[in-house]
Amino acid sequence: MESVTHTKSAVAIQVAISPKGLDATAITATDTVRRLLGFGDRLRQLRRQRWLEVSLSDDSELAGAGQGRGIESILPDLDAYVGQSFSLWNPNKERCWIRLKEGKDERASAEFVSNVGRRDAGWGDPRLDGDRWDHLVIWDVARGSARASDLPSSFGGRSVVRVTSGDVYSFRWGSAADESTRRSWVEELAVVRGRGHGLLVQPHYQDHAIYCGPVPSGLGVESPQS
Amino acid sequence: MTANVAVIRFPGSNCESESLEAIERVGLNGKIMRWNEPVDLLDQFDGFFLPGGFSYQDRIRAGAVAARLPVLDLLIRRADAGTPILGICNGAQILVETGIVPGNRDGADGAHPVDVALAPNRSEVHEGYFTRWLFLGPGPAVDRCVFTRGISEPLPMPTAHAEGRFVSRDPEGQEALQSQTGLRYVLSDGPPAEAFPALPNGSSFGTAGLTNAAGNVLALMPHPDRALRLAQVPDWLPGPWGESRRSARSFAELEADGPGLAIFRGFAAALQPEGV
Repeated sequence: MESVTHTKSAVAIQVAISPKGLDATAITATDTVRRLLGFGDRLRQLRRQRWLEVSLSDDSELAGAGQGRGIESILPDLDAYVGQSFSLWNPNKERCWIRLKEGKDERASAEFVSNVGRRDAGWGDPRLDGDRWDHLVIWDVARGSARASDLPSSFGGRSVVRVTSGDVYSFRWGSAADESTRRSWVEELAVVRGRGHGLLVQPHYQDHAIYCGPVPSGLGVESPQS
Repeated sequence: MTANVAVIRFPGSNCESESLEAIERVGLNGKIMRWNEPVDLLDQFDGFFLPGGFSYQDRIRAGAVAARLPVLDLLIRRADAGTPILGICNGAQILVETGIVPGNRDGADGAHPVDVALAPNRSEVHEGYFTRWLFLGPGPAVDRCVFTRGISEPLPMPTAHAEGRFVSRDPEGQEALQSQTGLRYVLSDGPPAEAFPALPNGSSFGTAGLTNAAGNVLALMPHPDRALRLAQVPDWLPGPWGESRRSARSFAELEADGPGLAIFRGFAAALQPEGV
């Protein structure tokens, strides 16, 4: 079995991309979970976002020397990349939401929506930091190094050390329940054990994490191949 | 009496016509049936075929949604009773997501645990969808499986998929991949394929087709349904099949049986042994 390690990175970029219109995969997943896995009205809403995390080198010497190498130095490169990328996302059809993290705090230090997506209202729901949603983050161990083909090798002078991609499914429930119950519901509908148990995570080649409430910024998921 | 085979068409299947032709070409009665036909109607068939395509647009994962449909309850029951069931490409993905293959363990709900998976293709030089004529050779279970019994020489066949890498993280699944591989990817002269492109997807143990313990179900990623006639074999192909294709001149010669029919002859032999 391949092992997966989590290495918290000092600087990380999280990108979440979702369709502006209806997400056919999310609709099918909702219907399948409700009708074929027996969840019925217990599952109120299910949404999906494509997800990418880019970990950057620490570069602490530069930061410590006061040379302006903090998050503010990343933003111009990041803004230019997101605005020009043709393989990361399609601004005609999708919204792109970005979180930045610096330091050991699990919360994002900064976050913004791409210039194109900012024109739209309601661009980011469900946000990864939303309290009303439970989140399931899925990544493929064997494809941990897969990345957008035009991803630059550095942002703001900090080199890219790790890229992880996957999906985030977000859930809201039809009835109130405590966190452990909600977590067990997500686990039950997510991880495939048999055709009647689980749908979204194929455990033979995917890994996952469940968050009841906000997704930490900078998960630092590292696969053996990355 | 000629045996009847149901070609089950799911929303998004796209290989049902050539699959039906293959079934009829080996002397079986075939009929394309929708996935939501009454179970009583489907239960009357002697064998089942799950064709290639993109059921439910491969949403979530290839085969993931179709595997949870009620029609698969019938197929699990019939598979456990010994009925021949062949799944090609997306049909194979559905069978794997259902747990019918390898199908060695029983779950609490009467279904089988999902012990293996078909993961996205991966190799040192290529990821994702890939299509090419490749060669298949016998695996450890070649003579146990009714569809592959007797295959001993490299068999050329087109492959066309993005999620065809047999993998497992469980000991049971690893053991099944090692012992229940009916066909594996090989080089044109027979040795096991170990690198892209002869091994197109990085599949564990080079598995191309996985059977169940009883040998009556086969989940096969390459497409025998696209290799029914000699005319379909590319003229650059090495080996005897390529030589036959290069030397064929007349329409009758080009219309002769292709390499893919070997799999369907196994289907016919399993269903009506006296007629083969």
